Amino acid sequence: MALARTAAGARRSFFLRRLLVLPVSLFLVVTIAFLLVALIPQSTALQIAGPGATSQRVAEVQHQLGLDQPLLTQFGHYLTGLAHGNLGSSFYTGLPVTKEMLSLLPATLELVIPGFVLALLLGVTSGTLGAYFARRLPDRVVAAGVTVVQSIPEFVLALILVYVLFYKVGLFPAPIGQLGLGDTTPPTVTGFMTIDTLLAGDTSAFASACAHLALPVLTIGMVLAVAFSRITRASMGDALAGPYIEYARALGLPERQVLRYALVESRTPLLTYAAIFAATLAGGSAIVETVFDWHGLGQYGLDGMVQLDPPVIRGYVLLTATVTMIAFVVLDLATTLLDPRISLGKGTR
Amino acid sequence: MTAGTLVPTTAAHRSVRRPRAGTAGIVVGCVVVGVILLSGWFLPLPFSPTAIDPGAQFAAPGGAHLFGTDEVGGDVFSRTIAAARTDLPLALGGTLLALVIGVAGGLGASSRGPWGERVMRVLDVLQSLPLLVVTVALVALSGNSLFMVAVAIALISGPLFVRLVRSRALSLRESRFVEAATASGTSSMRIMIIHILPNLRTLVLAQTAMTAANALLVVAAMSFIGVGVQPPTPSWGAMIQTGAGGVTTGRWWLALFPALAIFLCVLSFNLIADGLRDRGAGRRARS
Repeated sequence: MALARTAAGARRSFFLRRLLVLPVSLFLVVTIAFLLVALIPQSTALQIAGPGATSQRVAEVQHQLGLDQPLLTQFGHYLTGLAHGNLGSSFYTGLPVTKEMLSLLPATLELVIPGFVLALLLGVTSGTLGAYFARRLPDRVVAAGVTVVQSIPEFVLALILVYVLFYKVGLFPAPIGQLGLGDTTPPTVTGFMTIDTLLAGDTSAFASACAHLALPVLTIGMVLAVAFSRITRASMGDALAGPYIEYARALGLPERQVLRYALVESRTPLLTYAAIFAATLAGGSAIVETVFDWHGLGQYGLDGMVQLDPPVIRGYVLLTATVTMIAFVVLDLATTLLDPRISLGKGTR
Repeated sequence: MTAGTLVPTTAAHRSVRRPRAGTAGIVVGCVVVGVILLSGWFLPLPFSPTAIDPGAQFAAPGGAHLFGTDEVGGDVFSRTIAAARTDLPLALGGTLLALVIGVAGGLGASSRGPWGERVMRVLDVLQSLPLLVVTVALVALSGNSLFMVAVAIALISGPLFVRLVRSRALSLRESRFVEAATASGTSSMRIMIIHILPNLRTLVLAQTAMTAANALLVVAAMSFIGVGVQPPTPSWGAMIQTGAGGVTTGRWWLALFPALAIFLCVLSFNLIADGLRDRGAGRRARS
């Protein structure tokens, strides 16, 4: 009884500590996002104003950026804007950042969610195969595949898939955007191209949207699958070498059940990495989106970074970091609930 | 499949079999990276890597142009080889920076007191940022300074070093020999350098090779995006970017050769990392 009470108490205080750290971390992110832009030197204001800009135009840019004010005043303005949910408007297009990011979110999710699921399926299956047939042919094949794919840059993998599956085999449409040139863009209802085309009752556009999804989804899936495969191989390998697996086999349990026990044992590390990868995908897959000209959140953020578009930089950093941090806190809570053996003392991580 | 055919993964198996397998990967990896790096410096190139020849655009591989020519008639072979001069030192420099900062930070964060935990929380925040994308802004801000590319690599990979070194150092601190050293009055600085650091060697070396692999991918991704190494200086990422269009028009040689160069280097670094890790695992299992 006494023991149970302390354990529950420890869990509660751990949860509380994690939740209390969150606002502090969020403030740090807000500050970092601020400093990223506030430290823009004079020469960069010139760069933003564009070549051949008059000195008046440069001064204007600096004024618009608030760079002519003291740093603390700038920070105050920025925080006030943030409190009103106002992230400002893009410097180049003049469109409000919050609205833009919300409208791009469905396109990114449409890409990232199937990619993630594909990676999970491919990765866990191949990792389990490798662990089960440890040191034998399937293990070596999977390991070799993992090493090869891991050594290919994301954008090269995308280009290889485009070359083989579009140029050579002609299985998929030209890798540009979410729809072909001949397709009519459906009215935006949900923002998800596949759902919107269906709602519009345009089956050929729906088929086209799905076909356009295939290559980028395959790219994201393969890149992430490698990570999942490694993690599954390692944790399943450990689990299958455990004494209770030996015991389960000694009892004569069917191999399927033995494998299921091992999978349950590997649940925590898998969940941890799944959450980390899901969080990093929240901001979209910037490079894959750029290669396929997808016009999602990632491409938007990356373009903002390259062009040095201050409100976009701040907005993108804030959005992705906030999602990531909340995901990590949820993850911490979930893993302690799932695995009571995780000690909750100080310095557990 | 019956249970009896499964080979149990015991420590004994690992220690007997692994070290030799690891060594082959390390040797092959080092040779390949070494050859590519050295040829970047010393291989006599048939054409200047920055020369353009409007009369010889998009020539297919073969003849005078071994790897063909690009959209301005530049020799793809010369450019691919010459890019090793920029891309590899850049990746290795960034790796070195990550290594130094990461090991020092990890050892520091493993010391007793509240600061270790605080450093880790700051790392949590740092790693919650979309680092590749954020560092693109840093490099663009600096006017494409190559030093900032190295800093970007350190920012992306440094935290992994810190975590790894700290967690291993924390467990080493609990071991007998550190306890004995503390009891005999050794200063904590000396314990760190004489007793803990040497025990981290294999682990840190493996992580360094893995970081080098990742660093080259970062360098390539950055020049693919258009920040970092600027034309006309050849770099593999930028060459792939300009050659990307060729993939859908049949001009495969534009992107293939620089991509192959990246692939070979990253693969080599990964082989070295795997080999070192297997060695470390074998050693730990034996002791």
